[in-house]
Amino acid sequence: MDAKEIQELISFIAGSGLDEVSVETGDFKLHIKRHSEVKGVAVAAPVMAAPQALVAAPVVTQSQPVVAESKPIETAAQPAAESPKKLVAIKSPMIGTFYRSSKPENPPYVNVGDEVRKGQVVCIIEAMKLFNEIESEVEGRIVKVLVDNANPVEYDQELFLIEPF
Amino acid sequence: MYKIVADTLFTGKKVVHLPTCQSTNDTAAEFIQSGRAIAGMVIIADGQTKGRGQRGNSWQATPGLNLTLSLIWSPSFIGAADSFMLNMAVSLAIAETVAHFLPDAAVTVKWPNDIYANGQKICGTLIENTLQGAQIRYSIVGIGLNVNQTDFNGIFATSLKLVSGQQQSLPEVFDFLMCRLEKRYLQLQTQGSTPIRQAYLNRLYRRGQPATYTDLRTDVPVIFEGIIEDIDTAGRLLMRTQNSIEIFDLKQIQFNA
Repeated sequence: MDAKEIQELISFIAGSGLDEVSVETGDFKLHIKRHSEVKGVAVAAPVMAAPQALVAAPVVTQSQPVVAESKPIETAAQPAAESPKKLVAIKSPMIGTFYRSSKPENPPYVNVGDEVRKGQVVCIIEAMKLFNEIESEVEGRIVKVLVDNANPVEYDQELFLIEPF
Repeated sequence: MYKIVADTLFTGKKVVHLPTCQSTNDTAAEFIQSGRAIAGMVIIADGQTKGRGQRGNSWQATPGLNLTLSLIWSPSFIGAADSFMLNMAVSLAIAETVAHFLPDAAVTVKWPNDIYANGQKICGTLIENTLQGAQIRYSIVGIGLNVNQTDFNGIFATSLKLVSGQQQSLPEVFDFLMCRLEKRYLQLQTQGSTPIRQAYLNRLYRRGQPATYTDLRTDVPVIFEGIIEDIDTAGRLLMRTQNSIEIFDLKQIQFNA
């Protein structure tokens, strides 16, 4: 099932008057629920919120259970709380182990104070023996390295803070 | 000696054959950096002076006896968080190649990506990706497959020749490997990860069998008995233990003999 089909399903449920629907196949599990207190009036809320969360990660969700109602809260709350203004964070695109150099004997790709170009490799994330070179998506100066070498990192965890030019 | 592979669409259509190099993965990375890489290109060396396993582990191969190569792909359809799919597709293709040349042997994938023949390691892989944002720009798939080497100096390893008792033709093994790799790669692209994942699970070493492992998550390692059940999207191992199912990352568990 792709993101468009999920959206269509949600629209269909929104128009149907049903309060709660579970769909389960071999590959995925989808549970859609309206806000139960405000029956009938709340059609707009789930239709807006749910597709956003689902569109954000259409490929990943295939083999994982999807809980549509929990995601939008997380994504909305995050940006405000974290890094100070102006600074941009380079985040980990996956779960893995953070390495600052290409090989143990080599110097770090970048240090605090270094200028980085767009596309420049700043670190490696190892996930299951796959070594992923992470490139900077911005031009700027490294202000802070947030993770120690060889430490585990989570999906979306901030690795570096960069002051963009 | 290695000709362009005939039966593929793009994999192995450009082959750079070197008598020796430090590491075929490093040479492949240089081709990418200098803009000379094309998807499907293969760097193959008779001998490596600084062959690498994972993160600095050295890889020993006697020159001219084995396949040591790096293949460059550009799998922009795979998101960074799903890169384990690539690991599964590659492991599977190698296992199928080994099984083709060793029809009587038990050929399995030891999680996450070593290939075993009759319980001994026959092939190692080292995949290095370049990410642009959340997409994979280039993948370098480094493969070291033991073909005609028979003396491993006491290391717990085997080769096609040791298992089959027959000398194998390197170009023949190379051709077959390239075809299988491309087949699984294209399957990943067109059908997604589900069929690959199922085939990978079917080949998984010790899956469904009670065996002994060491839990490395605590300060004092704990030996326990468990059964490999499944893997999650990130490639982590789901292990059934006495009371529950536990999830293990790569460095959190050791397979005991």
